[in-house]
Amino acid sequence: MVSFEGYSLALGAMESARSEVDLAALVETYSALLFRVAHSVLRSRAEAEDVVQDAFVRVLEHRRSLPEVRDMRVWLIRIAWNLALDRRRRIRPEQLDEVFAGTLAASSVPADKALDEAQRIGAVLHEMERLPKAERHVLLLSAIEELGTAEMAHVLGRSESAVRALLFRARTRLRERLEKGEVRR
Amino acid sequence: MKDSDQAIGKVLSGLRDAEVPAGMERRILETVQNHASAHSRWDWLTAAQYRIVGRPMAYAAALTGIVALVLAIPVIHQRRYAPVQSAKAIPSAPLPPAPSATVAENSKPQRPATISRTLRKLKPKSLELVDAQESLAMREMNAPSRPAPSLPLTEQEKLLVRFVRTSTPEQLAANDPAKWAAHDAQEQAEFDRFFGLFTKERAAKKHPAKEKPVEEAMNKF
Repeated sequence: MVSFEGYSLALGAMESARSEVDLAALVETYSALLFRVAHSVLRSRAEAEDVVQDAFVRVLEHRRSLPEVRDMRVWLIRIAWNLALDRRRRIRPEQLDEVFAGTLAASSVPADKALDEAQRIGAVLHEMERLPKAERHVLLLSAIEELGTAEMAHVLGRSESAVRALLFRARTRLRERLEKGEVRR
Repeated sequence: MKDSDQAIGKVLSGLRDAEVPAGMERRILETVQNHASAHSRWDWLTAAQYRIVGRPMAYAAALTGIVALVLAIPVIHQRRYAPVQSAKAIPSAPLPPAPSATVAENSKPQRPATISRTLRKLKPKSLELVDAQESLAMREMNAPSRPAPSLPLTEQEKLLVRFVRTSTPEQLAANDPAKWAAHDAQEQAEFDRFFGLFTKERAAKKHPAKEKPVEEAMNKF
């Protein structure tokens, strides 16, 4: 973990130089993780990158309170997570989900089966969006390998046991709905 | 059930394995640095604002002092560097007397003209640079210049002025030195011709006997 003692963009040359170094270290350390967090919500690489940029700009704006941050990793993930959720409300997620499903299907199956696979993946994404908010959030965060249950609990503001329960319920509910959908077809 | 689990696992793995775009870190750093440079301009203003809000009376007094100082600076500056207008005119060398040959050309009455030089407004910054000696030189340089009054007309000039003002154009045109010279020469020639004949005749009448012995004596030799 990078030390953030004295992290501030003060007017002095030494302090500004040090803060730039710290900021570069922050970006280098956490940008990939934040990108995956944002991508799990938005399913768009361009939108996820914008979210990561906005997250680091927020870090810059709140640099005075950085020494008070106890867990920088969780704090950054929470910023990116909230920014991604906020951005998803403002864009049209259906189009992004279609593009993501098509890309994912094309990369995993041959071309003749890609259309059916894209429809299946699209159906999963659609049912995920229909899940209750807490269950959906836990399910999306569980897709990120680097995050443990404790960190997910910190990001979502819940206990670890609640996170585990929500994750179990989310998977069960999603599976049931997908099976019901297949039966209807 | 197996298919559903597979589909869910595929979606979650697709979200997990999302590749970071190339050059994302560099772009993020550039964006953040641009934002930081734009933000730092307002940093000290914001800090000053917070401080002023914290101690309103002290900063109000300081602000009043600054305003008073700003208002007083031009007055002090003006008093110190304002060019002094000397009541005395700068003495200038007397003009040489006009030669008589040019009197006719300068026959028009001269009006005493006062040439006043407009004072150039100097920039305060340049005024600050000059010291006391230079300011004295600047005052002398910027002082108004008044030439000496013209000399009174001579008697000949007065006659000429009177002649020019009272004569008709024909008289003025006749006042040509060449014509007058020719006229004088003609009169002199007539005078000599007339009085030369007259004197020869009178001399011949007065001394007719004296001339004959002289001629006889000459013939003897």
